[in-house]
Amino acid sequence: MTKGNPCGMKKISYLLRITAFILIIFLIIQPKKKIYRVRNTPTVAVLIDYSQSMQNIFGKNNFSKLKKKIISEIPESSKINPVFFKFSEELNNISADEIEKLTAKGLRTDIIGTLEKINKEFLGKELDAVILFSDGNQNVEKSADEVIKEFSELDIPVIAVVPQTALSQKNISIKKIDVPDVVFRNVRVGLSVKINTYGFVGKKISVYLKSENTVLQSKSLDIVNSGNTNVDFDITPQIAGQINYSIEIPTYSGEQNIYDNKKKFVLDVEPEKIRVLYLCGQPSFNYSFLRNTLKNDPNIELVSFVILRNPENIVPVSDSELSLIPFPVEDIFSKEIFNFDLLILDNFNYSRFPISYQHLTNIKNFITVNGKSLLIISGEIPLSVYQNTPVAELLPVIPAPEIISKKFRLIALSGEHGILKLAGDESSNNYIWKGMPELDSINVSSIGEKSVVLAKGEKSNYPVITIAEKGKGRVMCITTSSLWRLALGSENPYNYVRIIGQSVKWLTNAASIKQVVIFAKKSYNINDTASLKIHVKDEYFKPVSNASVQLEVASPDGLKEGIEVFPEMESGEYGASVELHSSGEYKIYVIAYDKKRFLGSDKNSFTVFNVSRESEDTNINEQFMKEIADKTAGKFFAVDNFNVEKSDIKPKIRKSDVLYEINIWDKAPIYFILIFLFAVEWFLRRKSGLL
Amino acid sequence: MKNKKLLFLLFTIHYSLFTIHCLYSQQGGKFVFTQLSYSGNWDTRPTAWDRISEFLTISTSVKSVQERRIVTIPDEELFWSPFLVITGDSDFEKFSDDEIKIIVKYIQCGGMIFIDDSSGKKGSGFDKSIRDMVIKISPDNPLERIPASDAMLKSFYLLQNISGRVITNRYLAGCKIGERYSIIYSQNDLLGAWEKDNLGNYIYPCDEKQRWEAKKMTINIIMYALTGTYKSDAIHLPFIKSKLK
Repeated sequence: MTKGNPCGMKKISYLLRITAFILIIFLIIQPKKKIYRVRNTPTVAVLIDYSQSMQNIFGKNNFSKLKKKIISEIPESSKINPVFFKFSEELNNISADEIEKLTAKGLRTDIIGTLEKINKEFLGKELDAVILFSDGNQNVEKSADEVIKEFSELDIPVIAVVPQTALSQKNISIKKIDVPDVVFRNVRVGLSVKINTYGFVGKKISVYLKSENTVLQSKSLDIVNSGNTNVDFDITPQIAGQINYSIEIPTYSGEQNIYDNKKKFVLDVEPEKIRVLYLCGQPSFNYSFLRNTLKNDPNIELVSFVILRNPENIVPVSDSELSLIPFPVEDIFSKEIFNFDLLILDNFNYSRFPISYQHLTNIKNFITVNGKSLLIISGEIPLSVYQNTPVAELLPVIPAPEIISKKFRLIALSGEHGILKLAGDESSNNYIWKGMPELDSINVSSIGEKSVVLAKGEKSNYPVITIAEKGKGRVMCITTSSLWRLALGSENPYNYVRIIGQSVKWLTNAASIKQVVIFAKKSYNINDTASLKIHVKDEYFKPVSNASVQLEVASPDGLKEGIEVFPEMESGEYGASVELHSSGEYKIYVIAYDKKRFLGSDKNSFTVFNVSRESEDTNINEQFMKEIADKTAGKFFAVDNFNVEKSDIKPKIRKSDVLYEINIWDKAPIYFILIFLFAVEWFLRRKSGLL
Repeated sequence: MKNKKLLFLLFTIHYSLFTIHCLYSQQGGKFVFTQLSYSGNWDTRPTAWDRISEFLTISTSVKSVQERRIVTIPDEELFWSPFLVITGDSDFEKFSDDEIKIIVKYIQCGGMIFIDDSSGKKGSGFDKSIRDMVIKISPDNPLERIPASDAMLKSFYLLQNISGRVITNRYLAGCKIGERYSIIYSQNDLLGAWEKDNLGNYIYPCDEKQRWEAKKMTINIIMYALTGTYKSDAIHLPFIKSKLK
């Protein structure tokens, strides 16, 4: 047997073994070769705003021109891979062919919501940029910051394209008036007015704050740049209730739209605390009960004077031994009265004091001119003492001097009125009123003009509780001094507390002290969604979190519909949404219970104008579009200047997605080579006699 | 004879109805002095109200019903009487649970009780019975000393001290419910200071200055029942402060 060079053989054998070993390792780790798709064309979402404003501003032809520009510029471009969407309130995918047929009929413009949806739509897929064709008139209330920030972080530029340059539209418009949610009487409140101007650079314009056609304040505004400018006003509402205001700018020559130079708003002014001035002619149980009730109400600030001694009373001690203080007639009836919201005259015979005709005129003005309120109680002293005085004109009854000292039962004629309502439903309320205890003594009177008798005496039919609106204010008359019996003689003394509380609320028109309050904006545009807020408190004005809240909405055609109410984050707060598809007055009613215990009810109303959001604002919001572009590192164009190349859109990652994979270990030749190597190695060893 | 009996019966019914009418129908906004009739010696100072009423009318603007109203606990008239006076000088049978419930309701609905111990002795039988009753009526707000700064001591007269026909305690006690005292308890025989015989002589001896102070205290309690904490209102404070100097 011939033996070759054993050293050379060994080397070859080692080499073969190492090669085979590498191949085995190769098989164990099973390597793959990935073939990537190379993206040279960025994927771009093309968003086309088809809301009505796109046509309202520019006319049908211009919207067609815009569409043509999109069709000609984008699909023909090989620079981008466009995915088309139309948007208004909703976002819908469309093909390039559908763009031509697109009509501007969307009812709202929700740019922010659309960007949000686009981000979700492309989740997990590549989105390199967004081209947004819009006038920028976002009219669905949403915060833009979060969404824009997200686009910026994801490195997706938004190319904002407006249909034409805004500078070509000469106009001044009031865009927004920011007012605080809660406004208190006698507390200064700041208003911020956003005014949009184009084509008036270098000019000076006047801005007026008006209430009921009276100019309250005016500001002069120097227009330095076109776009948005803020003007601030400070006002201190003097009276509580709903006050109508408007911001107005005179029409300047060449303005495209003169209707957006005026914007109305309503302030619901709440009294800081209801200030009650209570003047009582003599100490009595009526005073004691009423005072105690008013004192215990946390929403009321009470100042009271009781006449403890008349001039004919003789006290055998010096004045220094008495706690009596002088009755400051002049101060009260000339000055102080105007600092109060409600004046109570309880069996108060003015003629016993140096109260002049002018003082009584001041009381009348306090109600009719200043919009304050009066509660006048008789029963011991007849209301007829005020005959032929200015106060007589305020009385909701025509009083007689006669006082009938008889027990009588109180009959509620308007049990559903806010003052007498003691239960949530009519039958329970009637039941409570039927069980009310008897009262005693009544001052004879008959109903006055334009007055409402809420409760009368059984059999006698004389008015007992009567109300009326007098000028700007409200008056209530109680012709018995024994209303306290509703507390002491009743199974539930809280009924008395409730009636008094509700009377004060009605008189002072105070929403803030209602246990159940529903808040809504005073006006909406058709197709808006009204967000309603409901606050529920218990008798001690603590928020109730687990209340059963029933909400009913009556649309302008009178149809009532129950609306679902949801508890909100804040304790005692509830919310609901109502879609507004009809124009006119909507009425809303809410009732709240805490485990079958009636907490209260409230009603409110608002007006829906047959003006869509889309026709309300007829300017391009260039600033908003620029802001979106700037914050996302995109670009801003007017449509005439737009082209894809200028947009500089590039794919974020050129190599993306695995197009396919090659499993190298899975190939047959690899195994053949391995077998071959082992075979050769075996053969050589055998030949060399190593086996 | 039968006709006479019938006539008498009709007269009696008519008189009773007339009396009731006089007692209750004239209340209106007037103050009514209502006294509780109970199983013990309840009417220890029967003429006090006549004197108080007279004095009250002369010296203040309070309009009051002249007749004293006497009620028992179950009487419906109790709830026509926001001011209830309980007097006595000896222990009495405990009120039943139902009676206690009625008094509790009376207090909760805004009634006020003035208790006057006519015995003038500390730890009297009346005092023990009253304290037992008050614990049941107002377990959460027991009797406490009414501070000298309270509105009761300045509701009409400016009083520095607590007086009475006898000075058993230099304080009044009370149960405070809400912002005012709903039960006021005097052991100083305040009403005894008013009692006079038909000839106009005081029945119970007392130093005249002390009697006058007791009368002022009584008027203040009535004023307190009618005006509550009125004299604690901020508007009165500077005036009262300067007068007390």
